[in-house]
Amino acid sequence: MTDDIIVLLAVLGVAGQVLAALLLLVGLAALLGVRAPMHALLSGVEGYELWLAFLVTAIATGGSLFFSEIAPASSAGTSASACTRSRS
Amino acid sequence: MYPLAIVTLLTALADDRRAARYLMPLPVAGAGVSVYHLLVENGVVKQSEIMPSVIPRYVRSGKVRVEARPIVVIGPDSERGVRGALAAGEQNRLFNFAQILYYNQGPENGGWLNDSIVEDAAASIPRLGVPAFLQARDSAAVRARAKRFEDEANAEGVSGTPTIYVGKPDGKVHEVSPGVVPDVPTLSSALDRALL
Repeated sequence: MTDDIIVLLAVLGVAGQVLAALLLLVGLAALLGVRAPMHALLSGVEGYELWLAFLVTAIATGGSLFFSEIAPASSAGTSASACTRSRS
Repeated sequence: MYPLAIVTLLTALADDRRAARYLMPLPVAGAGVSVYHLLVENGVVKQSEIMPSVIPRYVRSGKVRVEARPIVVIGPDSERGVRGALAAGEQNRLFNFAQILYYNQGPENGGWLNDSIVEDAAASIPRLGVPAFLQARDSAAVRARAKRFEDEANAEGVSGTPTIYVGKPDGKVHEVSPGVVPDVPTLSSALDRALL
């Protein structure tokens, strides 16, 4: 289960980076005078922008909490911070 | 980043079209911190590491002696590690042994710290006699010392590791930054006070 979530978050992370690169390209194109992609994008997400922003931040926050609170307990890993531990 | 999820939800519910004005500072600050972490990870920005900063100034100059008192923190693996560290300490190689284990550690209580890795770690330390190490590891003296450190830690209410105490050899020691790992200035200040 944990591994599946890690893979899912990794895929979402890569997809997010591809999307961010595409958005940059669209913005760059608009700056250079090619505004059609920007207009298409704006009309496509119009009315949902804030919900999309919430979706991204909610996944990022959930993923961050997952990797800090759940994944370390069940996956191998070596880190310097592992030198700091509370007694159980 | 965590507040951003809550704020974006509120702005979406309120349909606040001017949200970017107050949302943007949060991701921009977060991106700044992430870039800083990347620079630290890649060695572009150097952070003050505690022991590498303290040892040249205080230990190599002969002012301070560092004494490690390993205790069991996590579970059975810790116990094996503690006895190995103390056995290596009999030949003044405790820190070498501990460092090798940290470099090779696996999941907590995942069974990685077995007798084999302990012996391999010992064998990889120059000028450490492995037969004497193995004998010491199973000796009553090492077990007794491990128990003494454990009892001391319990009596002092040590809640985690590393917990750092500073004091004169014949005087009372006190914990530096209880509950947290002290930074270099805090530890240096504690050492300077003890050296007065």
